[in-house]
Amino acid sequence: MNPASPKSELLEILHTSCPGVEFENETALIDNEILDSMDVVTIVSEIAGTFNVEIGVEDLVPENFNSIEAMMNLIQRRLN
Amino acid sequence: MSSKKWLVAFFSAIILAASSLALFNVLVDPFGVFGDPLFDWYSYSLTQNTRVAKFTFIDRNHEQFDSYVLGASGSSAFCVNRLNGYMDANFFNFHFLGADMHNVEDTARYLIENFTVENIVIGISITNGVYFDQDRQRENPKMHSMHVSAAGGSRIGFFGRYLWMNPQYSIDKIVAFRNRTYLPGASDWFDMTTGAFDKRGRGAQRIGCMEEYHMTYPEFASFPYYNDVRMLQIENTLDSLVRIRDMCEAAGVNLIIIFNPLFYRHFDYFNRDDFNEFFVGLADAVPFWCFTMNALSFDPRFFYDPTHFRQALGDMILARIFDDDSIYIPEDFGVFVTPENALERVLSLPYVEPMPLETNTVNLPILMYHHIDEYAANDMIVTPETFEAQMRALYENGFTAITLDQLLDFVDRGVPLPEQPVVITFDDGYLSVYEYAFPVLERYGLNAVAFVIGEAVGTDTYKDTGYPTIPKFCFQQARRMAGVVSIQSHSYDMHQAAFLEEGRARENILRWPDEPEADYIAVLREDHRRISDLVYTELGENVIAIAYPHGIYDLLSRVILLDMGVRVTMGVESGGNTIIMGMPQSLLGLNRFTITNRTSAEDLIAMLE
Amino acid sequence: MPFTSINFIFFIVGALLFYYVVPLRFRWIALLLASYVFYMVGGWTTVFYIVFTTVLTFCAAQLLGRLNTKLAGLPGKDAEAIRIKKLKKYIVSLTILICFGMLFVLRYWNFTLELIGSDRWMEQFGLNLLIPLGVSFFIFQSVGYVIDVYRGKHSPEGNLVKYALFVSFFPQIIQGPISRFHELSPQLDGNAFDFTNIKYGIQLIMWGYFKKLVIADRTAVAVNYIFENITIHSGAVIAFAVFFYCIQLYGDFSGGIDITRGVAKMFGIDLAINFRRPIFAISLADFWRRWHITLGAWLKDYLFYSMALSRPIIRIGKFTRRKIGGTLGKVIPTAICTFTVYFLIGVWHGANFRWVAFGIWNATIITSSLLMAGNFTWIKAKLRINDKSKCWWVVSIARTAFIVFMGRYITRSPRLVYTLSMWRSTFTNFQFSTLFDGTLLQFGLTSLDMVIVALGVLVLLFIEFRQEKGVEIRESLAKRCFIFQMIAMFLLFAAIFFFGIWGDAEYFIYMQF
Repeated sequence: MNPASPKSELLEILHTSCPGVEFENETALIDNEILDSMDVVTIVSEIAGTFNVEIGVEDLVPENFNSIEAMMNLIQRRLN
Repeated sequence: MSSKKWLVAFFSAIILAASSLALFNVLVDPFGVFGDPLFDWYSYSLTQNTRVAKFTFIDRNHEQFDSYVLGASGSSAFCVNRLNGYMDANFFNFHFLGADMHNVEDTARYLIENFTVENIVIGISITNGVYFDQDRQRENPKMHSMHVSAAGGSRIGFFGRYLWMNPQYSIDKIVAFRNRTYLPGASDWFDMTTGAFDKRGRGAQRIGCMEEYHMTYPEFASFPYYNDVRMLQIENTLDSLVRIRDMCEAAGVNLIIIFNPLFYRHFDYFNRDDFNEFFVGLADAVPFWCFTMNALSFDPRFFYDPTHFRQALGDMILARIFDDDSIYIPEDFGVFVTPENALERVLSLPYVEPMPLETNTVNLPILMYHHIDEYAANDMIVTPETFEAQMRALYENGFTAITLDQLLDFVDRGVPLPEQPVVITFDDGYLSVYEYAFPVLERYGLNAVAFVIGEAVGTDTYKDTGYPTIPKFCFQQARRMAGVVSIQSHSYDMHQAAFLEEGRARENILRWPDEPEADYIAVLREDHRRISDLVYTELGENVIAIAYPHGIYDLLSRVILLDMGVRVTMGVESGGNTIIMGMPQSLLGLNRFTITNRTSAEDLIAMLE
Repeated sequence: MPFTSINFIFFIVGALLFYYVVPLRFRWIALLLASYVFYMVGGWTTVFYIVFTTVLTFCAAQLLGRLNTKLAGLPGKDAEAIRIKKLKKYIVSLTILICFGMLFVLRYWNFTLELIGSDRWMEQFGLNLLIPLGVSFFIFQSVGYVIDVYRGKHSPEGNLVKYALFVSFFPQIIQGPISRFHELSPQLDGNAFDFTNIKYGIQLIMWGYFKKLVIADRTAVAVNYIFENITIHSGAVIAFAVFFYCIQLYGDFSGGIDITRGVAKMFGIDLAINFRRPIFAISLADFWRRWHITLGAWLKDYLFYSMALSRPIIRIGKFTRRKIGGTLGKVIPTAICTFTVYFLIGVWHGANFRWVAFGIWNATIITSSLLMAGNFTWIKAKLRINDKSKCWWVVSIARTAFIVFMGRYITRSPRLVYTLSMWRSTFTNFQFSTLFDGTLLQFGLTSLDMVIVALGVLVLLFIEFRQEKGVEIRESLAKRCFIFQMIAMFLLFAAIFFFGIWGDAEYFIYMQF
């Protein structure tokens, strides 16, 4: 198992998927249209592959993707 | 500002806009729905929509009329003045553009129910078998639907439509009013004294030989021959006609039905069986006058487009119906059709023979002379010897120099002209005509026309300038020439020499480009009135012909002169003329051969033949 | 009943009076009645379709709702739960199939026949159905509702009649927007009368009419005239026509939506925004987030996401990542979904090849920009372009506008094959002089018309620029002084009254030919 924390793994995914976005301090990634639907889809499929979780369509709401914390929460919920 | 206040302001703006729009449209009234309070220009409204303004007009003027012509635009050729004379009635032409029998029925009902009606004349066309109750299918109800009084329907809808229509309609009318001209224009081609089209312009166009006519109106040659077009509205049209007949019977109205003449290709355009059914059905419904196919149906010159016949034909029709022998009518022209002879008649229609051209047309060369002098200084001058030789050649080769009266009799009443007719004319009225030409003409029994400049008769100087000119003969001399030389107009004083005039010269009868139209019309009328009065008082002769100074003319001048009684107009274009029996327009803008001193007798004869 | 007919205005006035005269708790019924009257005026024979769709989706949602409740009480891996999940899937699939099947037959059947067969097919199987008013809108709306219930986003509406109002709410039947149940439904219960709602509604309607009647309908004259005979014109004239067509399309569509939203506002209802100043889009993807927003959002939520997270696509994604790798490998699954979405956006607009091609055009550009995103970042870095600068913003807008402009060549050309020759003549036979030698005045518009279009577009740009800066136009206007508000109202009103193509104004323009 990779010693890296889940959060840094997520950051890694985000930075490769959407280069040039400062994820760390953003809390309205979707609402401010920093991420569009294609970014979301890319991120979700990366997350699903890396964390081995199943994210359904019903999870694709802005609240779950507006910030790194929100995404982490989503992953946590699905991991359980 | 509270929202409430804003809304009050908004709705005030709406109401204000709606009421000003309505007021504007009522005042300008481009469709003549509200009585045209400011402009009184029905001709414009009728051009916008014939189906509306005539009703407003007749509501206000029905006391002046007791009889009506109905039908589509073909009916416009039935001259109400002639009808008034024939029937001792007061006709109004109530035709609509493209009216079908449904329109006609609505109109007849409206007239009979609301006013005193003595006579109704209905012109029926072949297209009545094809179209019925078309108004609803037309795009813009404002421009194509009938007045609500006759067609029925919602009055609120009808008037609302005209109250709150786009202001552009009214603006267009104001613009058109400012640009309106004496002649019918694109926006006003109705004559409100009769209700018919204003045909002054069309009636002033020269009609001559067939080739020229086909060049001017190529649509005749390109009109399809046979299209087998079905006539699917026969039943509706005939039912409607029966209702009109019963309506007229009940109200004691004299009903005359005329089946309009058709250009032969238009006749061939439709399915023959359908046409026969329509024709026989029509006779069963009501007896009628049939002019459908006649000897002139083959001559496009009697039609202004392949589906519309000319006024000249309309006059012949009325003359035939009312036995008027003062107007030329071809033989076998028009038959009164009843159920007894309908079948026989309709079967004979495809076999109607065309009028042979040599019967009703004649080639008429016109010779143009000016001055005769021993010394022929220029081409306009002919020596007495040459003139004598030319006249002798005419005489010896069997030419007859005819008078203008003979010419008119031929056109108006069909009186045949002598063999090889020719017209000899002299422009400007020089004394030499009296001195040299008159004796020669008398000797050979030839007639001639001298076109004199009214102001210059009997002078040898230019007006009061003292500037010497070629002397002109005087009325004393003109009277001596009576019976041989007819005196006609070369204008009273519209043949001026620019270098001798102090002010702006009238070198010809045209309007100055910058001259207000009304001023010009007054000038031309006054000029023609003066020469007519002068010739009539001096010689007792009516001025019926004019040779245009320099041969220059236009439509406006022609219309004004025709209106004042001129029948024959001549230019200076070289060439022959085709004169047509029953076609007064063949007397307009006649060509003339310029005869010079170098024209030998042989040349002359060759020219005329 | 088109927006521009006087009957529409009379209908709105009547419906409003009726709505506010009945007691508050019955107002939703008044609105339903008005909606059905409106629908039936447009063709009462087609009322079956909307009733059928309403009942079908209502029942499906009820069923799904019940199953959701049952499911909530069960543990996740329970066999019963799996069975219920499956059943839910069947129900939602069947509903979608029926609804879209109906839409397909109504709108695309003949096109499909044309596509696969000859005229003979057309003769034998071609349908001549009356297409119901707003069929795409009410089907999308009700299917969205069913999917939301399926996903457990909200519980189903219990009252069929209330639900019928959600499906048939009349202003949006003409041109959209496509509303979401949880947004629209709470507003339909009945609203108290409020002067401000009426005022804001009227203002929005006037603004809509301004865009539609003064700008769009005027540009349409030249556009129609030029495209009537597209092959004879110079490249410049064609470009001019397409440019005018862009203006026309935006003015017409967004104007119509403004009228719709204004009408709804007068009933106290805020409809979803459908246009957000697309002229300021900085990329084609951004453009589609600003143009016909509710359609894009619908397709994103219900199609794009479902598709992207569906097993086959995920499997394809895994495969391409492994076998192809790199950016391309990552983009392929998204690209498949993107192409599907834009294909549907295309055919949603019109059943013909041009719109299909238009969809593909958009999808291709968006996908390639995804593919090359890395390269762009690299180039930008090399050229030291600051993509936060004003200048870059303007460049992006111009670039997007150009791409959209080129795309419009496809949809407006009389046939797809002409698009290429139109493009070609724009690039190879431009004939610059034809823009200034009076040629443009031969297409039915006078120089006054041109000035009106230009001024109208300037006003439009000014207002939208202010909106883009975050200004709420109506609110800020309401804070101005009385005189200012009056002048603004009168100017707008006068512009529509004098320069709007209403009544027979079109006739006058066509008379000039």
